[in-house]
Amino acid sequence: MKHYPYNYFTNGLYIASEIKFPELLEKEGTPTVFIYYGNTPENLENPSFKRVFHQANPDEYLLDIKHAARYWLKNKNEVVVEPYENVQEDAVRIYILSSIMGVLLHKHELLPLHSCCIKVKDYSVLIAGNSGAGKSTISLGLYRKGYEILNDDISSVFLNDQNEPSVYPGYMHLKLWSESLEKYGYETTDFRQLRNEIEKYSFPINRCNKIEHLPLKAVFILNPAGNQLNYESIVGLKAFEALNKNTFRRNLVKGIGKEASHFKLSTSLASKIKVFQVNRPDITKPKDFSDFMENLITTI
Amino acid sequence: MIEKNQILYRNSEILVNDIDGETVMMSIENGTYYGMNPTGNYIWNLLQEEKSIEDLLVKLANTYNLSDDQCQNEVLPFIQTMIDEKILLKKD
Repeated sequence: MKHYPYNYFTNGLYIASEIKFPELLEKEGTPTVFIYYGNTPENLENPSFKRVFHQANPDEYLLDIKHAARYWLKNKNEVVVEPYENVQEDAVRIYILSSIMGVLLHKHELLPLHSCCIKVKDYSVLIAGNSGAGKSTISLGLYRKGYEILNDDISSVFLNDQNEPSVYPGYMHLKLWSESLEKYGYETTDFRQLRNEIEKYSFPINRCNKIEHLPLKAVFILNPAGNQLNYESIVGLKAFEALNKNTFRRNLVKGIGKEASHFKLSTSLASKIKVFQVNRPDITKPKDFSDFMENLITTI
Repeated sequence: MIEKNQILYRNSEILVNDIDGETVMMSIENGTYYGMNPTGNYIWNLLQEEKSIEDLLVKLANTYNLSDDQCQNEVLPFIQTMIDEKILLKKD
């Protein structure tokens, strides 16, 4: 019987792990996902999807990153990690928290949206957008105003027993560029750098961890463009398209054989939550944007 | 040119759901999404069992009060598109 020193609850999954993840909430429970070191195959048998760095079939997913590790999702419950020699530990962990987590969530029929999650009173909202749109930065602004951040990167969305959109809390840090930290008066030297080559840092988030999940009311998609700071409502097929665009690892859904469940969940969601596009001109001051977003998320 | 007595049926590889009154379909085969207008939706619903194109045109003409001209020049091409996109399939 293998012993797993680390037990976490993140994005709706109870995880037993041989690898330590400081960003995850430590919690005992019945694990559905096991992460352990072991041997991995070079290739999958019968891949239905094959690219340079990864391949998949309806049961397995294989990710090969030469400066980190080879990761093998044997099935939806087991992640086998085989690190390459002389690699940074942080590099090995980063891919588990991104690509591997994305695939796991799809396999467990949760919808991973590439977004930050903010708790507002008794509900939550998501802030989505392309990399660099400013999701983490506005989350820092709202955090400083006293709002709890339930997630920075991958928000796990699902329909609860009453068929209402809900979200599970996830990682307990914000990944911030040095400029964003400095904007709010922080020193980068106080924070752990995510990877040696990149000026991005891990900003730990404190929050009340008694919440299992929270109702999801709206998704705000940041558009760092336009002449005016404003927002517009998106409905119907456009809302569905927007959610699709912001789905984490959307390109892997077919390869791992989850099109049907993904389609059902994402279309149902598009009917049930409010979707907005937020247009933010370049010249918008951080404080003005924080105030604007605070007003938006509290009054929808 | 498509024969009016050609029998059509639904492609089972098509997923359908409703978003706020708009119908969206997805082809599992090619991963394409389709926003279906009310006519397409109506045709899809009619094909709960297989039907001939003639049957479809008659029902549509009655429901929407269409002329023969409209059936020929508007509805038929639309049905052809649904066949081209493999949303509807031809029975041999």
